[in-house]
Amino acid sequence: MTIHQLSIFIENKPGTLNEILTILKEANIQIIASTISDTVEYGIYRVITSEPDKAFKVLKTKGISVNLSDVFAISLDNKVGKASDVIALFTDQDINIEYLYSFLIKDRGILIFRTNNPDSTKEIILHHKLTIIRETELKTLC
Amino acid sequence: MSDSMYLNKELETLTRPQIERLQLERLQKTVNLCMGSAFYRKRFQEIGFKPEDIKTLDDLKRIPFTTKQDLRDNYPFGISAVPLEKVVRLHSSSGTTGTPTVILHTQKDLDEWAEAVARCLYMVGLRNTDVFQNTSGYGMFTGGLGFQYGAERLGMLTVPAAAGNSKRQVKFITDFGTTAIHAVPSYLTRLYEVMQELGIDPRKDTRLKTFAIGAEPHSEAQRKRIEEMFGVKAYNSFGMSEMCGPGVAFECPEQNGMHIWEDNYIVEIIDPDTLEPVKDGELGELVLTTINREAMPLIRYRTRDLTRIITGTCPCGRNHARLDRMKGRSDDMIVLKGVNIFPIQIETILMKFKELSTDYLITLETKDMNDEMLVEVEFGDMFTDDYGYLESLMRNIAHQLKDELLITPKVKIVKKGSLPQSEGKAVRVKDLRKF
Repeated sequence: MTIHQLSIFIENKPGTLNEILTILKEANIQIIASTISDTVEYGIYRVITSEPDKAFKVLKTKGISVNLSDVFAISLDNKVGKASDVIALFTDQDINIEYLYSFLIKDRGILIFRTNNPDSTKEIILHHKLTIIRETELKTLC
Repeated sequence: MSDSMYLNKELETLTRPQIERLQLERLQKTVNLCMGSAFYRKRFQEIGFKPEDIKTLDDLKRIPFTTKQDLRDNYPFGISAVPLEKVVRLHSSSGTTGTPTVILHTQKDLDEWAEAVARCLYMVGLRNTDVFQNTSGYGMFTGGLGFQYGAERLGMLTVPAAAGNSKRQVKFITDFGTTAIHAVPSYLTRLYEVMQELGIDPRKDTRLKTFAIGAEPHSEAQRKRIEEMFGVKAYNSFGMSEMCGPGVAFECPEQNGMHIWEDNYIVEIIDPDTLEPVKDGELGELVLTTINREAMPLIRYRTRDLTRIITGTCPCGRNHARLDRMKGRSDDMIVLKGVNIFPIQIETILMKFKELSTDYLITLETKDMNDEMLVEVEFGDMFTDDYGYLESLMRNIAHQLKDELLITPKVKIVKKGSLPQSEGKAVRVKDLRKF
């Protein structure tokens, strides 16, 4: 029910982000979504790509500290208020969103997130028949 | 209490021939005492040596060096030359990694130690009318109790402030009229900062006039800066736990070399590679033989401190040899904020964390007049997606290092592969401080 995300350790100084982007470019890997915050000395650059396994291998060969992590990817109608409706389902069950990033593609809104309780999260997704994005569908988004 | 410039005029103004006669006498006594030590008995037996073989000071060289490893190997009481009932105190080095070293003292040893410290403090003008504040750590740190007993022996009003809590230190200085301080040089810059924050001018608002500074290498420039900041005279103090603690050597008012008390120690300077004595005045490793200790005499102890003897006579009238500032170590020990640290201690802690690779780099630098240690580490693999976990890992590493080293380093995770690699002799320590 989850998709793979790359979690990449980078030091907070000029050049470290572009080093990663260049490696992905040269391996012909497309970035679907990514995020890095303003944590002070280092950060975790999180990336959703067209080919997570290939990207992971390529980064590792280049000596990059990278991890493949599991995140939820929920697809919503592109209408105002849909994100609020979905997040409320988790909040009502006392589930905490640890981080989240989102983007619009065509007529869909995509929420990428991690919670503090993956099992309960899965139950809610099943129970409310939420639409999830599968890894195989990711490539079609490109 | 005499008002001359010497606490013990007879011993302090011995001529060179008198010093050597006294040393021979005390050395002969010492090697006899060593027969009470299982360690030295065995060593003497191995080389076919008997105490009566010491007929001249040169005969000392027949006895092999004693090293820190010998102390470790015989932990805790294996070097003792007296039955334990006669021992009234021990001082142990810090850390739980590897084996600590322990130094034992009889009551007489403690009295001689206090007398040596008193002699040093009297030499630079301190008297029983002074107020002496000791900012050294107490407990196992010999700078604590060592200066405490020496200062009391001189009859000074002692303020056993111990380390840290700078605001409180400043309050003591102003409330109690402190005239003399013992501190590590790097701490004094911190004290000055705090005084400035509190709007206190040491020259106008305190009675400070004399500092004893030591326990870490520092430059002449640093000393002068301390003197200018506070408007005091700052005298270099040298010692080590193996020799007792502070009181081994100390500057006289000339401030040109530290007189090492040769009625207590026989001094040799050797080339650390060839182990041969260096020429007069040349830089080398300091080797010391105790000649006034009972519980744990040490013969030809390799201190690993690099220094030289300043030749010529001193205008103060003391013929006890003068040691130059310590220039470094012939091993990898670091001194930070007066605390001794071996890189292996850091390595042992880091290797407990399976998340880290085997590479690390320790950088020592002076930031805003404070000496700091930065420990950079790398991940083996990226094993988590949780920023909170990474932060708590770093805090945990810093916490464990602090427990072991007694100072708090800054811990930083850096890009994999960016630190010197383990193959060959990787550089593990970068000391950017200027001495």
